[in-house]
Amino acid sequence: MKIHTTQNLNSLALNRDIVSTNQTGEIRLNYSEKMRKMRNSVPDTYESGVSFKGKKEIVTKAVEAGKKTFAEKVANNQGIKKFINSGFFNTLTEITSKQEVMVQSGSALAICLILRPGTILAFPGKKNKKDNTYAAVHSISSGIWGFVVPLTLIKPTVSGYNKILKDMHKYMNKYISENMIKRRNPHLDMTSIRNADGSIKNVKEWLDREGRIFVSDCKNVRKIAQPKHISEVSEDTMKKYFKDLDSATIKDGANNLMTKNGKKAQMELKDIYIALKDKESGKVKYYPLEHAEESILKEAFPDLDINSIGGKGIDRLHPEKWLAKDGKAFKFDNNSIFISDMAETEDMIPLITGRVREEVKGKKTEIKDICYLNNSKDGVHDLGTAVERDMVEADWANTLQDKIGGWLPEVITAYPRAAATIAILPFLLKHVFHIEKTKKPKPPIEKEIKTDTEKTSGKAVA
Amino acid sequence: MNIQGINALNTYTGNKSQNQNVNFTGWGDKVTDFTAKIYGKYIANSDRLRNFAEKASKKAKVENVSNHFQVAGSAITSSAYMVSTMKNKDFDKDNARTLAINQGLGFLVPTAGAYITDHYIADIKKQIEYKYDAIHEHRIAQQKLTQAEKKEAMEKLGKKLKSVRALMGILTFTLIYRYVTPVAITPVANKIGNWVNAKVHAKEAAREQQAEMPKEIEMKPMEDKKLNTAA
Repeated sequence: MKIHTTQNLNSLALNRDIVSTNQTGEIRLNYSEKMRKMRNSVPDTYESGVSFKGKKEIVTKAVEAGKKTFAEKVANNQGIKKFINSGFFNTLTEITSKQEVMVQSGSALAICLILRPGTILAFPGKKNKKDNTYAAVHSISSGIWGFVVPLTLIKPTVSGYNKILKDMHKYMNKYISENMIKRRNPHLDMTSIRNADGSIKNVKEWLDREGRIFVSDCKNVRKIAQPKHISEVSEDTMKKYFKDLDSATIKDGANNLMTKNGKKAQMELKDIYIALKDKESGKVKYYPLEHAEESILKEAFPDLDINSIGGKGIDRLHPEKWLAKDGKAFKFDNNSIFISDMAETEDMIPLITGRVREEVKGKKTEIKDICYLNNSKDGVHDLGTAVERDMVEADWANTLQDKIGGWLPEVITAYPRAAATIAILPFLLKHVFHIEKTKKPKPPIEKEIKTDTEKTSGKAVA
Repeated sequence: MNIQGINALNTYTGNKSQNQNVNFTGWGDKVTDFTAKIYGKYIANSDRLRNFAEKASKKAKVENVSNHFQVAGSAITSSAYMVSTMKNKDFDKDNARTLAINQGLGFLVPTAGAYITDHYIADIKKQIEYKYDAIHEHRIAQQKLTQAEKKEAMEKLGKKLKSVRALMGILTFTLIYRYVTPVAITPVANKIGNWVNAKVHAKEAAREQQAEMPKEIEMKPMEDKKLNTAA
């Protein structure tokens, strides 16, 4: 019997209603049959996904996983995953975040040192051996030369710029004005940057406009493990979120879960996620029940008396205490519960609550979900600072300004460096390493043409 | 008892006056202090540059800027090679022309190729960024870190995330410029250069032939002789 699944098989016990057996005895998960029809939305980090446009509906069953695109398949390839999980790739990203030019010259060095000479020598072509050796040595020397100059000149120059941004408190009003710091970080609370005696605090002690620790990088947003439907998660995960759960009741369905003491098993509000599906696009988004905007809850639960849920965050009441519009107790369907747990998935998505912002790029205006910075006060009930439109726009400008700062020395020195390479390298190779390219004989075509011309003129003269 | 986390916390919340007067005594720090003064401040504090960055970044994607800078650098380098080749007296006209064509094409073709490749792998870059993010978020979550250590790890990850796509763009462009160009494009460009040379020579030869034709006509005493003879 073949089993076709990409899912954790432990969860099969909970998935009886979504598992079917065909005549050949193969087990196929229905969601994977259906998944080819639609694709989930994956918000693009702080930029987030485009807000829903159509009417929304609550999702009460396992979400059909979207068919993996080619790009997703590549990213999920074991070799690729191993590579991006390696210390080498991690180091490369770290260097890139500080010195893009060094990554460029470093990778060029690797190519010139190994790949190119290797190819030249492995596939010598029609050239003679001496020329191939010259080409290989020239490649190696140009690679080294192309790395040494950025290392000694460009890297320290760019580091000077990076240092100002990293230690803003040290260079403030010396190399960077308070006004410029504010322009770079519109969410920074300027009153929080000084001590009572007027001296400047360390940047790590600065606060933002919402009173949380200042985080300058808008890409550093709070993320959650992609939530899974209650019927999809493993027994272990169920036990983790439902205290004293009687495992035997799992098969009875999400609304009939009982504790070992015979009471109704409940999840804490902070752990409950709900999923909404956009009827127009078919996309699904996940919201924490504790933080979801009222507008989201109204669409998810049309019968709910929105005034009965308490406030938001820590003030929000457990759904067991919510009321319906008719004044009776609201019947919360446990089948609408999604659970976010890292043991269940390796995918991470930014935390969104239904708050949106406008994003204008060129002539295009989009409504996008707001994400939250990774500076929650307690990591649970407090969301973190909302990444508003002004922060995103400042972050774009910061990225551009920083890239200009990082690449300008490279561009400015490109011409003299190339001229020096042309002048010095062949000289060094000839006089130090005694390697020289063989001089080409005159192209035969020229001889032929000359001969023809001579012949013609000769004929003419004759 | 593991006090690593406590020590990490103390680094930032210890003596405040110590934090404010950071003394960098290392040689490297002196150099970066110097470059901050002669270069960094003009970029960090420039109103004009900031105004430009704010306006331009609202109109176009900023993620691809690294690629554009690489192209600019390559364009300047190629032009330096072309100028040097054309000025080089050791090269005869043909060799100079072939090399200049080689260098020109060696910039244009790979640039177009790099942009096209980068466009087609945009989705892959995005997915790899997500995967990289997920792997590291998982790793950070699984480690037993203090709040301060976690905050620092997340800050680092946030910065690295910003550079994942840029890194892949840089590697794509560098691979094409530094490997595909000399190995695959240069031989083709050389052939094109030789083909252009042959065309030029053929034209020159034809021109020379034409230039010599009137001489032949002038030197046609035969007709006169014939005429004379006839006469």
